[in-house]
Amino acid sequence: MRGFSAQPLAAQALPLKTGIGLRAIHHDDLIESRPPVGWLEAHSENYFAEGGPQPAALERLRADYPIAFHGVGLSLGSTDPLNEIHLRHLERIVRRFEPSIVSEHLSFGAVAGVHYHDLLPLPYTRECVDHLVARISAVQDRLRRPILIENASCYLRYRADEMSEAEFVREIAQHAGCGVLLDINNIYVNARNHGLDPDDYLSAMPLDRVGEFHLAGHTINVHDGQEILIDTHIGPPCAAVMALYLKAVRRFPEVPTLFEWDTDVPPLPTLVAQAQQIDHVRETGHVDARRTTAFLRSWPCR
Amino acid sequence: MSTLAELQRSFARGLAGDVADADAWVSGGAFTPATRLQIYRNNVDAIFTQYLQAAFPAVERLVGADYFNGLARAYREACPTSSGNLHDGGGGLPNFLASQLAGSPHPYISDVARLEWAYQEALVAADAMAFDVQAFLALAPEQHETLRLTWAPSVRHVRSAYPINALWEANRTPDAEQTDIRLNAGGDSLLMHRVGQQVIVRSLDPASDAFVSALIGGASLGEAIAALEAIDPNRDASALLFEFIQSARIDGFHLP
Repeated sequence: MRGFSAQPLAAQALPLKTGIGLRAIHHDDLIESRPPVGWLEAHSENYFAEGGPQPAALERLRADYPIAFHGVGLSLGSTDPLNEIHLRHLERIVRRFEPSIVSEHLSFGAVAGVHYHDLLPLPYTRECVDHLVARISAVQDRLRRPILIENASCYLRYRADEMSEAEFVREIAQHAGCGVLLDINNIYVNARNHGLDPDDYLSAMPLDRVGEFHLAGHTINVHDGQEILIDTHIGPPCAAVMALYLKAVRRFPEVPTLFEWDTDVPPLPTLVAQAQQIDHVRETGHVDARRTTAFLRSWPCR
Repeated sequence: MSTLAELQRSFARGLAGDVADADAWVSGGAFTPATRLQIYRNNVDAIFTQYLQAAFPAVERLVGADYFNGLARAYREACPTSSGNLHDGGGGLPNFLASQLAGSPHPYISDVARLEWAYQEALVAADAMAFDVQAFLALAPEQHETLRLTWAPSVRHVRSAYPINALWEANRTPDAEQTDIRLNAGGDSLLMHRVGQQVIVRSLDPASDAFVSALIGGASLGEAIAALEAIDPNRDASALLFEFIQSARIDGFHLP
């Protein structure tokens, strides 16, 4: 294992009260109304700007909320070299805003110098584990702090796969000395799409590595009479995802939770109400199916 | 080449629509490999198109949603970006659009695209430096001629043979007031910069345009004043210079 222990993952610095994904359309509302959410998670790239309204808003918000950075464009899994300009921007904003957590995805985005700006799926192979361990270590050395890596949702699997997704995530975390950002919806989406067992998945996650949960809504698409779940980050998490979340909370009771909503982003109060709904589920330890269903019904048909 | 690198290249070919060999490396199951790759193609298109729609709202309104969607895909394929920051991705669109619209009755739309991209760049640029007034006042008058002025990082100068400012204002928001804009109403020379968090657009008359164009092109202050006076011998360059310094458009100077 490389130089960073998972303990200073800074999870301690984030409250258990659910945080929300920070989106630019909510900046002014958040600054004015200061709603009671636990913390804010910003997409790192949205704050790469050297001046202007984006970093100015984040500067104001971080006085009131703990902040985490969540990257979508570093392309950790790519065999292209790490993008030096991207790293430099990330390093600069991490220094400036001192986030509690810095995270990225277990995916690739760039191939042969072309970036696709999507979270493309990686093969679960020994070669890919080794590649990611080296890349994550390089990023951690550069930032001089551990990062968290998020399990990605995916819509295809490779014939080359040599291990389960859970083994893949665990191997990387243990050998790179990074933390795991466990996206509960992504586990559920992959379980439904690829037939993996979500309980086995949770049991395989090392107790000392998980530093954050993500929750989000997904969309069920039907092609040729067959369902496929798409990780659209729309609406509240469904009851089955919340039930899986409660299992995760029982296994990792000290881990903070972040709720994301990225497609048809609603007004801030809807987001805050949903974060409070997640708090309620976590506190009471059970998913009120009727309440969840009522909330889902209030949302237009997906 | 490693298996991982090979797989990623195969994936990129799949994203470009070449799925002939996909059965060899994608597990099928409930869906064919082609269908699975199509999900990613759709995602990649949707992500990039949504970004361009947010950065170029007036262009989208001027060309219509259908043309814009096709434009977004064609541009992404013709001018791929290596940056992992999606917000960098629109810089090549004005030139690409100009090549697409060459010979069409709508060449002005690529100039509107230039204006929209300048606005995006002005929004994210670094803040201006503080102009050193004391050092400037301490200069000997004969040094003024050879001065080179530096512009604040957010300053952008956009020129067009068409009234792009009016076109932009009338199309940048869905509820913008619709007015009749005559395309032959004369061109625009626009100087843009950010004040606080707002981007300000200042229209330049022909003499000011000559002055600004000369300075941005790297001319000395003396050369820029000559360019101004060539258009309007009665114009006072010091008033313009004072305005640009006071508004923090010009944020520094250096001697040769």
